[in-house]
Amino acid sequence: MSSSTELTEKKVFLLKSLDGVIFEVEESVAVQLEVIRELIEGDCARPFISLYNVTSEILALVIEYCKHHAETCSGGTSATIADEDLKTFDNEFMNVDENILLELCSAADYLDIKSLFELTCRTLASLIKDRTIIEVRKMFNVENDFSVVEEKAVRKEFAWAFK
Amino acid sequence: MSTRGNEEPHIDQLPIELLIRIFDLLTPFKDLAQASSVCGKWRQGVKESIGGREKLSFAGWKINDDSVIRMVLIADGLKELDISRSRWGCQVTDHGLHQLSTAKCICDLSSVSLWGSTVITDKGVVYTNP
Repeated sequence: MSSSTELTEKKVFLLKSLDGVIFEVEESVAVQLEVIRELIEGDCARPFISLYNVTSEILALVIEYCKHHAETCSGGTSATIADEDLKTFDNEFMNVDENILLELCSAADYLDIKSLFELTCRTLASLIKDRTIIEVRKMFNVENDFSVVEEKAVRKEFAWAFK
Repeated sequence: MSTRGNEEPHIDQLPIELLIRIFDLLTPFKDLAQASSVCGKWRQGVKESIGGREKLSFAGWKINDDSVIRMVLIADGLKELDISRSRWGCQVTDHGLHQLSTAKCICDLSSVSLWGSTVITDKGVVYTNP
């Protein structure tokens, strides 16, 4: 019982993905998932927490994100260096295909991780920006479901913005 | 494991609430106009995104009464409206101002910029400020 702080056991939690994979995460990671915060604080997180809407592939990414953010924020580096580091990490983290990005966005919303949700929304918005309608439809596999009359109405509605 | 792999990305898997949050980040009207033209769900999303805004600026857009009114009528929480003439000329008239005074948000609207408007007369301004 010498150095008590060193020996203090780190609290870990088990998160189970939709497809049944169990991930072990430290408390600093788990608390970033606001959706399970109450379970954690109320000590109701045993034996594991099931996250029904997130696949293991996406959960692994979410955990990677939260882990990096937790480590950077507690690393004792100055705020500006930490900010820079997070920015670089976030940029690289968003370098995934559109499909993963969409799933990350829904997962961040479901798990209630504000910073990741904002990051994915910003990235998706930047993908939509400055692209033509046809490019956007193709990129996100969206079908044009407008009737001829509706299409005309939409054009008319925003005709001024296309000038 | 999920069956993703070769699947095409499908933004329609996002509920409309999330689409609206993404559209909230698009400010130039050109981007909103493009998004609105993608499909019915996106059109609705853009409408709701504009509807939730506290600030709308049409400065620099060559826009007429009808188009401004259509936007303002859906923006129930609008607090600031900029319809100043600017470079290209936002062409809101007395008639448009009168129509604006019937919008739901009019009680909360704390600022309307009409700078440079040449077609608005005292009549229109007095009308909206009973």
